[in-house]
Amino acid sequence: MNVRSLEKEALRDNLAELFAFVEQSLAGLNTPAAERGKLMMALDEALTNVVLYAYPAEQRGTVGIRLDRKDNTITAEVVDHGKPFDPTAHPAPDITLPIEQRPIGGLGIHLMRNLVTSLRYYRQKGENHLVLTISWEKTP
Amino acid sequence: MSDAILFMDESRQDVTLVHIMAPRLLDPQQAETLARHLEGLFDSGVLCVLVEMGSVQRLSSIFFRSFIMAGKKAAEKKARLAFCNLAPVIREGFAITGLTEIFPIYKNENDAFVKLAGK
Repeated sequence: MNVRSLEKEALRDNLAELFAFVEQSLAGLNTPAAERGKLMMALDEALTNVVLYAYPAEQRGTVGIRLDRKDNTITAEVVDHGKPFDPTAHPAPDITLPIEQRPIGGLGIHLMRNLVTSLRYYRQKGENHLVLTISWEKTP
Repeated sequence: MSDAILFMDESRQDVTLVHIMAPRLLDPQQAETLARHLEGLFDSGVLCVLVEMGSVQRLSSIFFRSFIMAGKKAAEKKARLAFCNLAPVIREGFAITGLTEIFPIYKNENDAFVKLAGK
């Protein structure tokens, strides 16, 4: 089976299970080590963002993750029904600033965008969908 | 998220070596703990900190925030912060975020001590 999915309440306490699910699923989908490392780092960011920021403190919500392999591409989709947030529209940080002028945050989305082959966002039926893909060359 | 030891400090020559012990740095609370520890070292008068990350296989981007916070403190105290033994994907994360232009990154401890001790 080339599709794995998990949905959990968007709670900090569930992050460890979500991260472990991603790691085990990518291994189970025979993702090469380099691509696995990059996609895990990108998905760690996406899942953490949902858990920390998608829902107001008084509102409970879910975070879903689905991983699908077709040929030499893994497609990962992160779904929540929190407030609309399009990471692809987030302005890129200035990474050339000296340390004294560097903002503390804002690197996560930049990192996510640059680790994967493509990053796509859409909102449908009140849900945020963030779709990340990573592809690799076929080995001869 | 984890009860594992996060880091262990070692003083060698004029360098404080911070060995990161956890294989997975993912927990936002751990990121805050590490940032405070590194800032505390500079506040206590340490002038050179080398963060050794040979055990770390997986790192959340929230830790880059910790490193920037520590780097700002190092700059304020006119101290140095460097890193060594980065896994390839973590090294790539440093490059993507421009942190390779801010912090010296060394292949291993020996390489780091040769370079840092000479300064």
